[in-house]
Amino acid sequence: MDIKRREFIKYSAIAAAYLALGKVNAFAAQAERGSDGIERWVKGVCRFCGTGCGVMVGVRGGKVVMVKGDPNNHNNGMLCLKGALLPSVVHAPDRLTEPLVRKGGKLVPASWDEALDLTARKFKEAIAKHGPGSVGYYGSGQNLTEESYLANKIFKAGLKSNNVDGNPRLCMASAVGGYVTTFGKDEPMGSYDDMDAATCFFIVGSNTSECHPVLFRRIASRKQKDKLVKVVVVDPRQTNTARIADLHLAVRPGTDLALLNAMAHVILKEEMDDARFHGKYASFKLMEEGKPVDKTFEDYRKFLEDYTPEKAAAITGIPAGDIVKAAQLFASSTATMSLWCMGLNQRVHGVWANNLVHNLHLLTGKIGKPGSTSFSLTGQPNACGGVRDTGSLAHLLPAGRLVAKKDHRNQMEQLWGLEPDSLNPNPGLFTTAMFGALGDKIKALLVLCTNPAQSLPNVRKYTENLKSPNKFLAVIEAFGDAETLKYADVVFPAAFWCEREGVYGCSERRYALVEKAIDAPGQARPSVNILVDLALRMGVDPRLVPFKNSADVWDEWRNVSASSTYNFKGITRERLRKTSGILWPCPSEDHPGTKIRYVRGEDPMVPADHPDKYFFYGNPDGKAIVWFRPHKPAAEEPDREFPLVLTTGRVIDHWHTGTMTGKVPEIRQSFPHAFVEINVEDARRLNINNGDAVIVETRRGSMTLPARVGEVCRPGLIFTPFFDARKLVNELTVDAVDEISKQPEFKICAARIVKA
Amino acid sequence: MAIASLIVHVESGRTAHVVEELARMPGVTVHGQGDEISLVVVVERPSREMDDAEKEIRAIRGALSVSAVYLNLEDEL
Repeated sequence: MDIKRREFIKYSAIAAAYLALGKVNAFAAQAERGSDGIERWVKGVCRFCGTGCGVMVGVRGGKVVMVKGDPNNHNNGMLCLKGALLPSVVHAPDRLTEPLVRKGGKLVPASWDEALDLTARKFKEAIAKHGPGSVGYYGSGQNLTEESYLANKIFKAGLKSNNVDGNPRLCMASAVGGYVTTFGKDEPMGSYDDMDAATCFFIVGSNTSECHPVLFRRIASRKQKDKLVKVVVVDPRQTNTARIADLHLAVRPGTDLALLNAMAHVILKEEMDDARFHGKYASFKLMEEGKPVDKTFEDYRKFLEDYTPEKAAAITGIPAGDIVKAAQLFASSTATMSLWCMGLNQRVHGVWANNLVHNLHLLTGKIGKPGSTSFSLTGQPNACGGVRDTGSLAHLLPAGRLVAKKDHRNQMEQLWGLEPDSLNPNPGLFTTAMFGALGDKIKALLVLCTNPAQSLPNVRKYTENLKSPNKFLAVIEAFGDAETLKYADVVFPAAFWCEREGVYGCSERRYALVEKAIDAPGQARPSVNILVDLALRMGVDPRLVPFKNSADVWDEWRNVSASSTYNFKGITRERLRKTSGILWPCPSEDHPGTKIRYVRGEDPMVPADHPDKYFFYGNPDGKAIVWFRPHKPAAEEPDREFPLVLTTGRVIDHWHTGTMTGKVPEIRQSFPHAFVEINVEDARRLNINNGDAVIVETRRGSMTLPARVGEVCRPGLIFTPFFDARKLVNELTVDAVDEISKQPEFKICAARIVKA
Repeated sequence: MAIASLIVHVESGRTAHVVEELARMPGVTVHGQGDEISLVVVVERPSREMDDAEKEIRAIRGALSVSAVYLNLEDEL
């Protein structure tokens, strides 16, 4: 690059940064100079976390050579470095470029026809011999919405198998369960704009700073610019997020049910509740023998008597005074926004924990107003818009419908042009059950764009099934080093990110279009086309899959949504091309989208003449439910034999199993190996120094990791990230699941460590 | 050599210290202050070192977060 061009690019880079801050100065005029030599810019969405940042992709010579934040999307031009480095992932040398078929124990190149025919034949044979319950599909929160909708339709409507699940089961299922049980409908009711109006942030079980860095900046900026803004962080680790907290509650892991009930106790005792709100818009319920039983507010008050701050202090390890202070900050602010992520979801009582956060909002009326909302953060770019909204889980049908409900099945049969009562009425196998049955009940499985051989809990147990000679595993994948390929019988090379067009839906119900920027390498194809070809060869009725591309699928899904309260009929492809995303519900092409649900005048699903301001239309009585959820321990508590708690998570540099970030040389170099974080007190007691090799052992296995000694973990807690395929930390984790959401408890298991 | 612009988010009252530390880092230029909590920084490093730059910045006392706005990799692809 010559000096002149280099200077132009620097000017552009500087100008883009000032523009992202809303500052127009002399540099802004230079903004486009670095674009010389860029053949075209296309609009997309980042491929990593669930924040859904808009990106602009600069193309030259068939390659993505430049990335900048989309100034018109919610991220105002900001990205994290991981997102900005996406070109290195797209152009990674180990991209899959041709179909592969296992022969003589090895994956060898094959033609598309051979790979497709073999897969179709195996699925057809399994169905003919063992019925439709013997085949399954395992998808991902990274698929395009169109891919999830289509795969779900092919399996549930075409093959009559409800064995459709996906990795959001591992990260978001408890959030879904929480929203559905409390409000009757999934997905948050607020938007990121609430961050600009909230005066109290209640962040629980989320290391926002490392896992959703662009949102963290927005929260931290808000706090710095308005001294009245308070931040409460609940996390057993002293994370970067906790650095901005006015109050950090380093709870004993797995005790937040007690903490949240105690906060509700304080709110009622000190009369900080909004009796007018919960008297009118909330009902109170307790589950008894598997059935919801109506209760009164007074019953609830009595239920909470067990949760005095003093009693909760003994359980949580948090001083009673701090619990009182947290409740006061939550309830006395002018607007409170709760944010949570895997710390609440990846738990055997994850749905309950979600319910208890919602309870705090319903008791205080801090919901459905700017800045007041109960907002679950998502880990993947399209877990919400793809898997959750399209109903691509074993118990769901599109737009929040349930497989088990006859009227819901009948609605989908009508929409999909099927015979009445022809859909399979039995929910399929959820993730761990599906992989537990692989090679036994499940004979043929299609995996799309995810890496279960690394991401499942207690993974060694399921690896045995992946190796079974009685299973057939077909994988649609972009990268040749994904752990799961070791067990695949057929591999289809997939177009990745901006190599094909499609819609992502992020945490705030925003649908945005990833436009096609470049061609996929070699013979790699868009997954929509692979799925349609497979369906036709499997004998699926061609009328169910009349799609040439993802735009056709989007049009059908958009029209199907119109019969539900998710209604986004107005989000046409054309509008998505012109905008940087629209929030559903959006019933017509002239509707601007919805920032606040369940509120008259804001949410188009609430009739304009509805007599009350709020209408929780997901529940038959229009009220949200305050659930009585007692504190219960984790599935595996520490004991004398395994005295520590092991928790797992992400670090900022890597994302999930590292299949993408591991190939960015600069990221791999930064965090080449996993590690285990240990508190200084524990380390001293065990004679472990920083950098020592230590053996981490649980009841399921052991591994040796370098120690990071410090104050990040509270005493008794150890932490390790899960990105490193050479150190499969999920060989150690438990696969106990939440009874309601079937989400595994990655966050807590008992462990011991010893110097290696 | 890649070129990136970053916005370094600074804790209130620590701007001078962060600017001083940034100035010592190879390949890093502080261009100016975008607003009271944001520094506009250009990093020119081989892409394999880009991530190290971000880590070094995050390790500065008073640097709360780092956002990337623009990244050009055309020399490396």
